[in-house]
Amino acid sequence: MPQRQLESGMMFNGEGRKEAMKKGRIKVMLGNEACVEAALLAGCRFYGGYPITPATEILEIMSRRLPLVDGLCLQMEDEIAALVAVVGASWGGTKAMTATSGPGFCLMQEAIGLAVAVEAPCVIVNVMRGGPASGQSTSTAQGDLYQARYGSNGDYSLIVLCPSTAQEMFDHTIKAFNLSERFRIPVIILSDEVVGHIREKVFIPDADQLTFVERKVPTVPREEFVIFKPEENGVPLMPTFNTGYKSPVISQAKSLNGNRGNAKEAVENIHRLVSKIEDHMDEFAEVQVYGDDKAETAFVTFGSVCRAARSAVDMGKEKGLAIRSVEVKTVWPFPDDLVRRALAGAKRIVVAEMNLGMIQREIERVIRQPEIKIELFSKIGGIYPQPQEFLRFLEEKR
Amino acid sequence: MRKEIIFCGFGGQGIILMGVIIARMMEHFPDLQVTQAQSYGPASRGGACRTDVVISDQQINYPKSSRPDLMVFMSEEAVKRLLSEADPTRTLIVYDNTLIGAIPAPYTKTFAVPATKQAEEEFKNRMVANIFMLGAVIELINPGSFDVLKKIVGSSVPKKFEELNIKALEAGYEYYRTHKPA
Repeated sequence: MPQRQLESGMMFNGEGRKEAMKKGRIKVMLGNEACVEAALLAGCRFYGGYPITPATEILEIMSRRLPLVDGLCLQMEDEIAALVAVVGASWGGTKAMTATSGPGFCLMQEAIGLAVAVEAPCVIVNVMRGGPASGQSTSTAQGDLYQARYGSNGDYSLIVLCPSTAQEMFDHTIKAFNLSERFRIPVIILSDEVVGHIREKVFIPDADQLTFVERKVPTVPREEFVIFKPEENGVPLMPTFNTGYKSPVISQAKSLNGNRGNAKEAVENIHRLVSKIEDHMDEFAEVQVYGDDKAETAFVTFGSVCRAARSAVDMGKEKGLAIRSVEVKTVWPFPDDLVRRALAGAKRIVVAEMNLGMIQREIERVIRQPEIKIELFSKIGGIYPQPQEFLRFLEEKR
Repeated sequence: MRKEIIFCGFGGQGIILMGVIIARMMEHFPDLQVTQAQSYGPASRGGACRTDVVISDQQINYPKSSRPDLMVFMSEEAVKRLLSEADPTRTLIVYDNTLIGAIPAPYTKTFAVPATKQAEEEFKNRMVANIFMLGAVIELINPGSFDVLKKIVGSSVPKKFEELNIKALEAGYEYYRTHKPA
């Protein structure tokens, strides 16, 4: 099946990862550390944050590194302020980000809607932990999947990426900044405690081997500029505050010139905010298949669980079991077509996730074949599933 | 080749640091991959504490230990909690016999290292027991890499304790050479 690799356009120049590996360096680092490394390379110069386990290392390392590159790291009074500061920094012309975990992510929902409405490019990392509420601060979980997509009010769309390794924390952070600048949206990196706190080798390419996307700024005479008038790709040009372009930026339904709009204009604007992303999914949607892509038994996973499933696929192979593992890398907007293609021919689908069944509902929506049962292998309470348990599940539930 | 190692003890012994040092060493071995995961939170500030290290010549998928080849125990509590993860027929169990009486049956593949006793008597500082232990197990983890280990230990501890830690490391290595399991 055709797979969209990170290498294919959003990240590497020219030859892709293989060529890039000849330069650059390899370092053993935490997933959270790899995220910072990538953000700085991508040009992030503002971090607004509030500490929370298991995302705190991102703030800690940012506070040491950003001043060295003339950036600013601000610890705010809470997560609402943190993300609002990021939105402000973004309109100030800076690439900006924040990181948090479940409880902080709850507080950020209001400002996520703001970032969507005022079309402020920014990156938000959620290193998931157990919930609800304060939950289990040091335990891993994947329960924020729907919150990442639907947490703020009203109709909107955004992009959510799910890394499963420290390397992907790096790659997805570069990709997240590029997509946020391309579409002028908040991009969420939905990581989890296992990925944030794993130490492993990360390849860090030299900057000149990477592709970086920058927002398009207006060059027309100031009096001709209409602030929210979209370009052909649905995305308006973005002036920086205090550069002379009239920049009314409000969170209410608005007309193209940024002032309060009527109902018709509000409807048009909402449709544009969604379609500017969802009409271009082929630019970023990514689903990978590990193992035997013709196997009748398929796992579906995202985030850290992909890794356990991969090992289960390998163990199954040793025992003569053919299994494929379908890994959803960009979970929102849900890549219906790619997932359907990746699961073509599968007779038994087991969705494995550390929640009570979230991706499962998406798979049920996408695969509407009554003869195919979509089973759930669920682990909650901070328990990261072992590969053997996948195989046991296949055997016991048969 | 996939090798799974678990270091465990109580918070404050430097258990996690042992895992971090082994992981960082692997920067010097381009053909080997490594993952290091840790128990996190209150458990690392007193109470039972563990870190899993996986080393492989292939890409590492499952990043934690599910069939440990080597378990290094540095507290009785850790033995109680985690010994059942060992496989009696294949897991080599290294334990600090200053702090742990004995490893019960059926676990017979064992190697006793008096790390805390040596740290207290020879170096007058029990803080270096973990580094003594690292010296004693490095040949079991990645044979022939003692020089790299020395370098990483040197850069992982505060400058004023560097010499002390290196001495403890060398003493642990010497202990292994003279007492190694058959």
